[in-house]
Amino acid sequence: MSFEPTKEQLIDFVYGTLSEAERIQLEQAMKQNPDLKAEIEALNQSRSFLGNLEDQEVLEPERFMWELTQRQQKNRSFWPVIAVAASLSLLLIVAYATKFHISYGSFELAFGNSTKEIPAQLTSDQVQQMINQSITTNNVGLVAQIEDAREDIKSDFQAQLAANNKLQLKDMKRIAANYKQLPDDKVEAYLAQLSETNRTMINDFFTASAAKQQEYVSTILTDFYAFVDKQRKEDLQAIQANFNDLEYKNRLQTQQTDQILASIITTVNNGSMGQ
Amino acid sequence: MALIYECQLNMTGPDLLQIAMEHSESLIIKARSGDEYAFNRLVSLWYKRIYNFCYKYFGSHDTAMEATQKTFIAVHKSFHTLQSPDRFKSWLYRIAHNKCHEEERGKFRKKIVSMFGSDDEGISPVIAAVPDNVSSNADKKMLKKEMAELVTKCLNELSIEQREVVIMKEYEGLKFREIAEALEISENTAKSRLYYGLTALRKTMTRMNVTQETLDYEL
Repeated sequence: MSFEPTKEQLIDFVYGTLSEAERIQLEQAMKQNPDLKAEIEALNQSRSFLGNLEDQEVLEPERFMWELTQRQQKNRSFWPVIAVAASLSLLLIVAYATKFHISYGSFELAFGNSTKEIPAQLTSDQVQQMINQSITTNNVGLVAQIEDAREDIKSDFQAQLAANNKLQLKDMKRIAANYKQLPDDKVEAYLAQLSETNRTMINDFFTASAAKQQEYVSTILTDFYAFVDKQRKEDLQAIQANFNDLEYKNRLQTQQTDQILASIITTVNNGSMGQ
Repeated sequence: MALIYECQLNMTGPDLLQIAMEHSESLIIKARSGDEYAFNRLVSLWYKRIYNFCYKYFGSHDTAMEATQKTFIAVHKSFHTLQSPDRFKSWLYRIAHNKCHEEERGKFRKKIVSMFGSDDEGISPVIAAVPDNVSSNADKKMLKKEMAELVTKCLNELSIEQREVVIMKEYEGLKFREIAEALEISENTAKSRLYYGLTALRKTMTRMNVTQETLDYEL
């Protein structure tokens, strides 16, 4: 009587999970039945064909829990989020209004401008580079603003000069009309007075213009200080974030190594116990 | 210690990963009790496997990524329902299989909505015959890539039931018991589906002129 295997037995045979007795029986049946042999070959060919598709490499998300939390938060009630956001905003506003700040090195909480020096966390070269870059950027703005200020001063000066010239012209005409009637000493005294007035006026003008320039430079320097201070704070935050990230990765790495080592030890122990 | 070192020298990366996956009971117990680090470690260990299961199921990176993400979110949510760490593998693949089904239904709905411009380009017999002289590395790479694409297309021609059993057995190396648990079917049904899947695959191969010569060719 010939042996007719079921589909399940054929699969077990192909995958090597058939019992020893059944396997021998099936191998004998294959010798007598070419169709059965061809069927098994076809199954093996399909498997061989499937072997051409290899695993795809994929990068697992670095912070799966973070993403998970993000997704879960979407499903939660919206109000607590608003409440927290409002509280944070309020705190930030108060902190901004009172110039509240925190220093790390030796821990310090302060309101207003802190006089204590914050220890540098960047290398001196990096700081120098950042300062140079900021100065270069700022210089461009500074030059443009000084140029604008000069233009303003020049136009003011020209307007003043034109007005003055107009007045002087009037005076000259009046003087010319009365010239014949005026004695020489009076003319000389008038000219001296005129000269003195002009000198005072020019002096006042330059004093005012110097004050204006000083005010401009002072404003620009204040802006520059604020800019550098803001930059420094942002850089410190970025460095802190990088350190946190590094620490997180290190902890993961350590845990992974521990797990693999534990697995190897378990495998070795199991092997030695089996022997 | 020397023995451990020797083992490390003899083992390749994937072997170590495989061992770590097979010995993750303590991680599973910790993760089940809410340890986030342990859960992250489990994700690291199984992410590639689940992604590849989903990738072979859909043949699309984006959909596979989406299904993988949803799988691990579901795992995190319902970890308390896992009764025994021994059943973790089949339980994980059951969730992945459910998520793939959900994505598949989503894709089907999208196809109905967009009646025009179907993504299905049809199957073209890319490799009618092996070229006479495939010598250069570039040629070999090209042939390998085309073969992989062809396998993906053939897999997509199978019914979902056949396809998932074929993937679980051939690529994920699950035992028949694990497949049966993951799909909530009997072991015999799993074997039967695998048989019909491999047979259907053989027919598709014939239709596409994939011969024994093509398969025997040294890639």
